[in-house]
Amino acid sequence: MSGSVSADELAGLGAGAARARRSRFIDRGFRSMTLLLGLALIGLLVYMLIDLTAGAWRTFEQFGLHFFVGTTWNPVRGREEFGALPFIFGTAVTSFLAVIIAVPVGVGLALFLNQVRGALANPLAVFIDILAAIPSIVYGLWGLFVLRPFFDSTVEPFLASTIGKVPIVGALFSGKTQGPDMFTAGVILAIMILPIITAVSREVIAVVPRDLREAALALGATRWESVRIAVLPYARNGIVGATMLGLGRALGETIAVAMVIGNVPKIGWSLLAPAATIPSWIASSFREASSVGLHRSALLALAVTLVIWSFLLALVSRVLVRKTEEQIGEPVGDEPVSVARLGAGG
Amino acid sequence: MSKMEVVDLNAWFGTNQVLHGINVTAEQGSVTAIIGPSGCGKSTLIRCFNRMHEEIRGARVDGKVLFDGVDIYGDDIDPAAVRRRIGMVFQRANPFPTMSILNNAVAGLRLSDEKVSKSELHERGEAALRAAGLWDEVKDRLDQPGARLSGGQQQRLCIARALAVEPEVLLLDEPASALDPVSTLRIEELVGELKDRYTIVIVTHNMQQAARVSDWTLFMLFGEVVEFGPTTKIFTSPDDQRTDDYVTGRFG
Amino acid sequence: MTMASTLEPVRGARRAKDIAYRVSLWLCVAIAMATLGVIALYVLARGINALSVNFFTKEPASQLHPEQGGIVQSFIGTGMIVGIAALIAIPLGLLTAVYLAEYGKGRTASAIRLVSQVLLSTPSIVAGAFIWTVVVVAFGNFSAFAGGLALVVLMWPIVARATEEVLRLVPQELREGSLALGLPRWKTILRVVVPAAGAGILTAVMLAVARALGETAPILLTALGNDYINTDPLKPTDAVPLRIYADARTPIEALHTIAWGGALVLLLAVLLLSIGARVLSVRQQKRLA
Repeated sequence: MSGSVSADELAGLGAGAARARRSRFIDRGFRSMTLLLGLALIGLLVYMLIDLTAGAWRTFEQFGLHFFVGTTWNPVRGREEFGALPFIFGTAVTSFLAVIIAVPVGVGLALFLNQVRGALANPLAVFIDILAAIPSIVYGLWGLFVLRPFFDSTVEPFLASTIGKVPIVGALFSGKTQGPDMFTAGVILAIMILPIITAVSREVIAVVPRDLREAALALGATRWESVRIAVLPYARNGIVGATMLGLGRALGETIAVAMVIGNVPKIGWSLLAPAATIPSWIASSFREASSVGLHRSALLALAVTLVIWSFLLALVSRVLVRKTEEQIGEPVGDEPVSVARLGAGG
Repeated sequence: MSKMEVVDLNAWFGTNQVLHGINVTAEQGSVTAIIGPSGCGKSTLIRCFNRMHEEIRGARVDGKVLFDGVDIYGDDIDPAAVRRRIGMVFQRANPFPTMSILNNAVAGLRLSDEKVSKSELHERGEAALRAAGLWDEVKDRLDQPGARLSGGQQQRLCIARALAVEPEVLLLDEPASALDPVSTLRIEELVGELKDRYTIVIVTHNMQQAARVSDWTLFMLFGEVVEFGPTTKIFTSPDDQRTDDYVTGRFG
Repeated sequence: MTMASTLEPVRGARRAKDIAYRVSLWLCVAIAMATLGVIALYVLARGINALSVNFFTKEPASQLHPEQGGIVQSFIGTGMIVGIAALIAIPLGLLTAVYLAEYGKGRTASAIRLVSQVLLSTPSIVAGAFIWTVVVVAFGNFSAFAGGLALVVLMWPIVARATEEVLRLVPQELREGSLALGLPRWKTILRVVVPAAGAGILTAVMLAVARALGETAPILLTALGNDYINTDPLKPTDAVPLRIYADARTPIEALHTIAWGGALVLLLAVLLLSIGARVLSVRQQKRLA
């Protein structure tokens, strides 16, 4: 292979030069196109936020902060009043209940998965992934036709007659046990957020250095003590982060909750009473919301409230998971995309 | 005129300067070896020969690299065009996992803008595989995935791939360092067979290998040229004491 | 501590706590597995009764014989809505992932990743409300197209992030090998990197589609639902989750059974995709290692 090369050839000015020039042009164009799409994604988020806020603006303008603390929701023209507190209340209570149930179980599962190797670990992990993959509507259907009757007939009367009789705390389980209620909604939510809490807790616990646990065991600690001394203190921040993530998911759940909570804008002490969450209320009212008047705008205002709430939670959880990184000095890793984290739709 | 000539070349990774004022030539039809201890900049230097160094984020080059008298770092020059005339084989064999042996060999042709017919592809693939000394071993299984070959065979496949686009210069960056002794010897034989048709530059940490295969040797230290000359001279009576220390194994 | 005391087994309160700990872990496992078991059993038992030829081929029947009807319009509708969403979200997500994995290393890329994460954790009803105001209200009617767009908002970041992960796993040496042959960057990406990532990208798509199939709230607000087959993407369209939601709330027992049937089919489809994705992903990792 002899013969020398010319500057023209290399510069793409000779034979095949047009091809070379076109290739460089395509190269730049391709890069620009992918960049543009990435920016479009940012644009989508911005557009969504602006659009929702714009739609909600009239409501905020009219009611101001009263929107967040008012308890009356009346879309009837001429007597419009939109107070979101019942829905904020419902969302908060059901999510909180879900977390109280799901976190202990999830952390327990995470600890179990971390210490067990072999036969049982994998099937369990698969089961949790399956739980994560079940669509929200299926949970809702099951909740409506299986869980609710069961709770109405057995569990709730039991709770009402036991804890319900205890002073002060008993108020939580007072009143009618029949019918839809926050308690059932909370339990369903707990099942739905269990996978993500387990998945994140597992990652956080796995990052705790082995030698800490082994040092504790070598001192003669029992398994519980080694976990208590060497694992939980380090994993604490991360577990709180996992809790926040679970809370975030619970916030956004719509259909499963809508099918078991009753959709009644009420605030009360009893978990056995029906209520409504922001998503369930939006889903059940949007059809009647006409553009005349503030109804539609008010629903959008609810959506904006939800958005702000979930952003704050996601922020806090991210900070906390990163804090675990700093403590341990090792990265927990970027959140991977998996079924447990994605869930299967609300 | 030398086939390739490096003139006052400097290179950086970010703010860290790794090559200082390199001057070296590679003659047509010869083998030039670049030797030196780990971290002396050998790989960086050879990657400047085909403008691969700048593909790393933050990397920068200053100076001239002349290819038949033309500076490949000129303003108008397309790096991809440079790389079609100056081929490279890497330290670890990297055949494309989704392609068959034959398709790997002719990958450079199939994916380029050249219109090449199927029969011509087969011809050129066979020629390249023969030149790389791999044909006899794979001629019955050209459709099998390239990744199924042994380490030494994969590396020869990569050599075939580089040869198929008919470059004029072949850059070998420690091509045998991940291979067993038998495969290494095979590669060295190949270099001897190829050197008539190509200009070869080879980076190696194995001094004996350099002594065996090359006509010219460049000894580098801390990103600088210590000595450049005919291989026999470098290894028997070098001018610089450091060169002598290195080739006799007193350090490195 | 003397040698004797270190050899004594742990007693009393310490031992009790340890046992309590171990038992509670097993309890958690039991709770999780029992819950899954109960849900799966009910869906299977109640849903299987609904599955019949009619179920898959007919529209809802009259009031007199509701059990003879089916939900064919829901299957067609789901196909349309998820199909539209996938057609839009997959290319968008892939190319965004290409930018993040192959080109972007600076602040722009970090911003895009952050936005992806934010969109990923946005409640799905918010996506529905967004498209509701932008498309449904603006154009005056609910439509399969609007439903598809609402799902795009959710699917785009999933495809982008999952694909980015897979592209990053492709070894740098492959890119270098291709560039050293003189191939331009875009060809290296499209003809070498993307094929090498092959199965992984399929996994990403499967995860996104599985998520889209299960979504109810966003399409409730945008596609609304329909009792009849609709093939016009610009009109209200039914979907399996919507049908389940509607049928479950009627007082008619036979429609409840149909709802369970829909749930069973939906669950199986989603599970197949999710598990398939995981199997593929494990195989892909082995291939690239």
